Amino acid sequence: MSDPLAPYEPTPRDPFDLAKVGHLLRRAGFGASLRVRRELVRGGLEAALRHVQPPAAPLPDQALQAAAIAFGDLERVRAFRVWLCLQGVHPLRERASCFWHGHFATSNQKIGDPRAMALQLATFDRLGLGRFDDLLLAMCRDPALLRWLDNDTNTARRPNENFARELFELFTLGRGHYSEADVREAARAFTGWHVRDGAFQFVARLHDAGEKELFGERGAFDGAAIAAAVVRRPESARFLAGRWLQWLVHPEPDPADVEALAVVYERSGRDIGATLACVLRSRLFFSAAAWRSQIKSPAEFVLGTVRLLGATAAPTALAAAMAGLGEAWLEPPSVEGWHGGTAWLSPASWLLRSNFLADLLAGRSGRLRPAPGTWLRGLRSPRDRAKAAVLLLLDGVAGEDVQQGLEAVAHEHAADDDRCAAAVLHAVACTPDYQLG
Amino acid sequence: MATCDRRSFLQFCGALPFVGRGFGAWAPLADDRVLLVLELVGGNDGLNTVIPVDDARYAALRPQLQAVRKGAHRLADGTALHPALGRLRRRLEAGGVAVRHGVGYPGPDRSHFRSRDIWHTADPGLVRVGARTTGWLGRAADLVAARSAGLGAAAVGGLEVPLLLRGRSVTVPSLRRLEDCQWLAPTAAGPIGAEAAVRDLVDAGRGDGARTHAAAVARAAVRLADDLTAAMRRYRPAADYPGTALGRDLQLAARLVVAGFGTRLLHIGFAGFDTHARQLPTHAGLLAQLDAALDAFAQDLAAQGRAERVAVLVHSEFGRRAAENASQGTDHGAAAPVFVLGPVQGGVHGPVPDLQRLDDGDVAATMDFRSVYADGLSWLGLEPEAVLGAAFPGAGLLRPVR
Amino acid sequence: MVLNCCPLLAVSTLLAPGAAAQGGPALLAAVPDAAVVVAAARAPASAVAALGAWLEPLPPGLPPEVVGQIGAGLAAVRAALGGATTDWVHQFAAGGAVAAWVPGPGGGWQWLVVTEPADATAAAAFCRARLPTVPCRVDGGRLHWGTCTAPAGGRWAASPLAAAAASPGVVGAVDLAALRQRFAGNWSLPTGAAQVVFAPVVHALAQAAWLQVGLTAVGDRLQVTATADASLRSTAFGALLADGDPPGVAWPEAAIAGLRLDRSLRRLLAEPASFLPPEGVQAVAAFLSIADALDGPRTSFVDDLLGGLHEPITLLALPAAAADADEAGPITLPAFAAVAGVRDQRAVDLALRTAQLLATIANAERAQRGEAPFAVRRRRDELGHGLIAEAPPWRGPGLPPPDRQLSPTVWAAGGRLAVASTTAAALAACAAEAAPAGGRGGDQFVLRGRALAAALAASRPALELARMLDEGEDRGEAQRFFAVLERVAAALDVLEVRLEVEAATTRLEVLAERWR
Repeated sequence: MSDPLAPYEPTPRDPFDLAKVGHLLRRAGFGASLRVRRELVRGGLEAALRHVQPPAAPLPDQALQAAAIAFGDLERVRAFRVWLCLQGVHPLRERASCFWHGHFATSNQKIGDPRAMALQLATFDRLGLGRFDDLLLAMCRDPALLRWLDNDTNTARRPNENFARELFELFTLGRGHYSEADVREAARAFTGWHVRDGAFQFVARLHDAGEKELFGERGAFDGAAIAAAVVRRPESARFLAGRWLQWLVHPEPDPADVEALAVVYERSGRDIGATLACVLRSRLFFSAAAWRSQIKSPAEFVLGTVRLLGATAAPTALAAAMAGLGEAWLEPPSVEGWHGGTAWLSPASWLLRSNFLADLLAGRSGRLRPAPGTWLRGLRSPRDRAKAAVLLLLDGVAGEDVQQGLEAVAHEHAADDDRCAAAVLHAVACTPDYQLG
Repeated sequence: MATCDRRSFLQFCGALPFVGRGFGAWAPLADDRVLLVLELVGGNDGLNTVIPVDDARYAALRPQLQAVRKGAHRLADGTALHPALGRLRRRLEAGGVAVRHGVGYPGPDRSHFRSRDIWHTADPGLVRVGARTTGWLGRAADLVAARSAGLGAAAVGGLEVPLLLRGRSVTVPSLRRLEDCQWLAPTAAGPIGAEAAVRDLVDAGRGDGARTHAAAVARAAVRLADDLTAAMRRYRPAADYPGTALGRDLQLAARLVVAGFGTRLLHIGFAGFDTHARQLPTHAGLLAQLDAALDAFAQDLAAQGRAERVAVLVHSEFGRRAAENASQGTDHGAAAPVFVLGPVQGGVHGPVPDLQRLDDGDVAATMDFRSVYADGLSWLGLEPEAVLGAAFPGAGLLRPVR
Repeated sequence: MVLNCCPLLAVSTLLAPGAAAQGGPALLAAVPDAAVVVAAARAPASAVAALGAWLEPLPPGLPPEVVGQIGAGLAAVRAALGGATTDWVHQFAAGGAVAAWVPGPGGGWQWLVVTEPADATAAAAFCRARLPTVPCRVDGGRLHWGTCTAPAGGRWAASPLAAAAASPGVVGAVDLAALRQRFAGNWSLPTGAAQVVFAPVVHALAQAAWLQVGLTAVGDRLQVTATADASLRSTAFGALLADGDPPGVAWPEAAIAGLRLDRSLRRLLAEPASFLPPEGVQAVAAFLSIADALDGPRTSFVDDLLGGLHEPITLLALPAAAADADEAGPITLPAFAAVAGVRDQRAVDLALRTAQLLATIANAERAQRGEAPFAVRRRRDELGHGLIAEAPPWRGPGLPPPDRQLSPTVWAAGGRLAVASTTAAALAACAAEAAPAGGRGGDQFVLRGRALAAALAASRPALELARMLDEGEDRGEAQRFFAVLERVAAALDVLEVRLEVEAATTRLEVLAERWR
């Protein structure tokens, strides 16, 4: 059996073309303008991989981040995150931070502290592509997460198991790979891991320093020891590998692929960035099974549309639109994060997607610049306009029926350039294929 | 920019299979009974909702949280309703509410997600939620769809369709405001490309799941837009709903019921019940919201002449531990009371929770939750076994339909 | 574009003040009866010069491209008029001018300009060249130019504007009754809190028959006055006016802005049903059910606290104290203060007890969020005494949050009581000089441009980010936007708005003074 994670090598029959660039940018970023996509096709696979994971990209501007936090207002923090994703300085990192936000799903609705939420996201920016050991330890000391899971009331006298349970169930191992006793013992280890003045604080007098037994081993474990022990569990590697393949490859990953990626992850020294890079250059990633196999999240739909058009828009309005579509960043529905997949798309949310785009393209909301007419400038015939729109939003891949439908739309509005462009682009974005990531 | 002309939009959609089937020719349904499942998400503290005030163990287990006994509304069996549930108590006395103590399932799971999944799927043996897992109300929606046209089921209040409403063949919409669902497209063209995707429905294999779903949703959306526009014209509220999210959701539910296009199954989630710390004010606030919104809903339906046709089942994924924690809160527990409003056998049902005989610190279940479901399904005129996979004795909470 | 601009351009030049001439009142006879808005200038010849003199020089330090745009605009005006602007106005309307706006069919507007030109032939030629489709005729030495051909029956010559038109300067009048009729469908006035805040204006717009407007520019001062022939005093809402001769506070030199609304909060809260819709009454009841409970059952927020103060209350925005450069975060909050004269000392004690309780509650809530409490203490010095809450030192990650700049204070000194967001602001509000005795009352608003510019500059990083996020601008665009705003603000010495409710009229006065 061939290695599913063997590198993809472009061949004349299976070239690295616009469709493959589009696929890479959809999964490892939020898309890019047609100009950038064409450059990446010319530059080849290696250049494209460097584009999504640039080795020397700076971290988000600290001063701007401080300004976003200073408002003390969740909308600003959320809009700043949207702004970062629209910039596309390090596409994979921006996507990875979103992934980790869904993984360690913390909601401001409970903690009411936008600053702590912003700092948690900044931690994802900093560590989200580094070693998982470091990321997990940082999360065990993250003020927002500790308060979200009530660990700030977890004391030696009265342990609170919430944090310990989610640590195993949702963050590292998955159900069935730990016992209730493990949860109880881990909860004791995290007693006294509290928050003060927005910072992590270890309160020794509230900590249970006694001996604990975890996964069959004994010791006076503290939280750090628990984090260090859990990342070494083989189930943790499989659990994370499965989550990454769900994100990057297919909503229902093949168990053999999960197994193979778990090995890659362990061999890399639990390096997240290296593991994801291995997926992104693999045959599996560029396989037919992975292509358009996911439902776009509202963020992918909203931000992706603006980025595919190579346009700018007002982040505050885009963040609000995403929230309306069911993805309110910093307010996930539960600690399980967003369920994603087919749950993103219901008949009601489909109408909302359609209406959001109609408003955006008509200039009624979102302050899209430049105006839609720009994108189809110079093209007169309905056929050319339909083709250009498919190239912009679907990497040129659309069935003949879609082409014909679009031509009819272009024909209907031929008199007015902006309206025609808005109508054709809207029609492309309402095709079932455009809902797929 | 001009919005789409409804007629041309539907003409376009008419070209698609299924869409528009039965529309225009739709006639009032013979059966208009509606079951609304109101889910208290997060794990409602059953012992502080229906309080065993006379049990000395209660005060011992809850030195802080027992404060709710003051002002609680006494019931016939020696328990009492939380002070914030005054309106519900009046309705209970008038015979419009049934309370069943101790509803749960064997081998209770303390994870929110798994316990919620179990309540949603009606399958305590559920291993993992997969792409093909269905919910009990979704399976009921399949049955409803098989015998009538219209919007058989809907989730109200959120955009995600909860697992509970996932059916085998039906795509259930989720609604927040009816106004959201109008078609604003700049062109008369509907969802281009849905036709090709519909063809793929026939020979869909692995990897086509997302595409098939997207196409099916596009078609359902077209139908939804039209249904709801009609519904908006038909309903006038007959009660003063509170301005809370729950009030809005329940009013939308009333609107769907009254609009009369065949909605039989509804779900509303009401979150915030995960009261691990400083529970008293939070819990009281949530119950007060629940009390006011449910009362308005019942009043509205009565005025619309639908009181006997709508049953509301209020449950949570689990109760909370019998003993309070050190943060003046409670942690995840097991069995808890459920409420049913509407055409019920009014009063309190089942034995009062025995705090002497706790099961690992939790209230033990004295009734399987599927018996409550079976009750609702029978009342709806659907076959409980077809939905639940096995026969369960009915809970006797709803009055048999004449 | 030219088609749209030219009538406006012609009209706006006519609105400027000018030297004595005879045309104004006589020209009004030529205004169509159907007109609802009319402007008249006895002699507009020096108008452009006066307005130009106020405008120029442009604020220094504007970005070159903005100066370029304004410069290009002025150049384009001169080019369109074919020479120096003032010369052209003299040629066009040496003997006076009136301009009228007339509701047209289908919801649109028509306009008409009537002037006494120095050179009627040249003026007419200009009009025909500019807007060939707009009728233009010379009749008895007068130029009639405009899209309106409705008949003039002399209504405007007998209107209140006729008397004013004889006076120097540029005057205008609005037939409010007719305007209301025209917009009957979508004429909605504010209700609730906005109705209380804007009560005199709301009443005037709803009841007055005429609104008369005057505009003058002299040296650094640009003054606009508007008088309506209706007064709130004759209505139930008149009881909301604080009245009397309040020992008000003079605007401190350093203040960014000040506001004194001539309303009695005490009467509003005591009898909400007289002034507010049912929801407002309910909101007041809910507020009082908490406010009255704070100091126990024996004192009343309305009678004992508000009743112990002189109304109206003065609101001040003051610059923040200079912060350490390395402590400066992206937002520097200006300080806000509310200050009033004390009528009964017991009000001070009640305010201090209430503040103490609120501080305790706020600290309890902070503790629940895991935040360090504010340190609350009583202070007394030779000038006054009060309660001060000070933010705890910041030990968390990153820069301190902006709320650490606050030191909420209740301070009593010099016969005044101040509630402020910082101690410095409370002391400044109490120490401010008294407004001159016999000074004018009414609603007053003052804004000092340079102080505003400095406040904007202190929070530039955050303001720019807000613009980037909300408007979708890039960083450069956002920086330019605030650079322009700051420069424009800095070019304004002071902006004063005053609203006076007389026995039978309501008078609004706006005064803008340049800083050069």
